[in-house]
Amino acid sequence: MPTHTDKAYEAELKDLRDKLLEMGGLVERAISSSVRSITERDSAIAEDVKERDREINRMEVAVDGACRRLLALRQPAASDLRFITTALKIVTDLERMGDIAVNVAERAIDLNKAPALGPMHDLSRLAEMSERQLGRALDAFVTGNVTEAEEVMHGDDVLDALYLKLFNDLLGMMMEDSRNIRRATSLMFAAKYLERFGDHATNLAEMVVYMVRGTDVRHPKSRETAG
Amino acid sequence: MRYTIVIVTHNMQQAARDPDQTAFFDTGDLVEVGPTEQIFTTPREQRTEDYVTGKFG
Repeated sequence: MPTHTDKAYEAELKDLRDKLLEMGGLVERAISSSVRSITERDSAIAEDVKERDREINRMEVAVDGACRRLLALRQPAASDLRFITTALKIVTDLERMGDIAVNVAERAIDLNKAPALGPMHDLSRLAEMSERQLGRALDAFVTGNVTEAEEVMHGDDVLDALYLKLFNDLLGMMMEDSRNIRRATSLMFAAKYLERFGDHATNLAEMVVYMVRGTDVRHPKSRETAG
Repeated sequence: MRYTIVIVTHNMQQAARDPDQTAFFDTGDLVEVGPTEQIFTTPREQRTEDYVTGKFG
C-alpha cells in the first residue's frame, strides 16, 4: 500500500492511530478491572480504576489536539479526512467508556461493603461480552475490516438480551427479600453501565464502516422517516 | 448567458474550494470525474484517492 510522500504527515497519522489504540487498551483494562472488583470483592481494584481514568482523560485531550493540528495544517482529504473525523468521534466514545468503567468501580466499592448477593456469572459474562465488543471494534478500526465492524453492530442485540435477563433476575431477588434491594439495585446499575458500554462499542463500529466505505450507517430508521 | 469555467490546477485547496465538479487527470488519462465533495471525501478510484491524500504527485 502506498504511503504519503510527506513522511512527517505519514508519521503524524500513525501517531494518531497509535494514541487511539493505546487509549482503547486502557479502556479495555478499566472495564475488565472494574467488574473484577465486583466479582473478586476487591475494592482496591476499583480505586485503581478511578485513578487510572485520569490517563484516559489526558489521552482524549491529546487525541483532540492531534486531530485539530492535522486538520489545520495538513488539509487532509478522502480516506485521511475520514480517518481523522472518525478519530474525533471515537475518542469521545472511548473517554465515555472510561467514565462508565469508573461508574462500575463506584458500584463495586458500594457492593463490597455488604455480603455478596449470589453468584455473578451473568454479570461476568456481560462484562466479557462488552469488553470483547470493544476489542473487536478496535481491531476493525486498525485493520479497516468492515465485516468485523458489522459483526460488532449485530452483536449488540445479544448483549442487550443478556442485560434484560440480568435485570429480570435482579428484580426477582428484590421481590423475594426486601433486604436485597440495595445490593440488587447496585448490580442493576452495573449491568446497565455494561450494556451502555456495549452501545459505545457499536458507535465505534459504525464509525469504522464510515471510515472505510465513506457511507454513514448510523440511525437507518431515522433516515427512513426523514425520507 | 451561462458560462462554464474550467480551471486546470495542481493546487488542491483551490480545486476543493472553487468548482462544483472536479475531474482528476493523471498523465493524460481522465481517471475520475464527479462532484467536488465526493472527489475529496470518498473518491471511487484508487488513483484519485492516492493523489488527493498525497501518496504521489
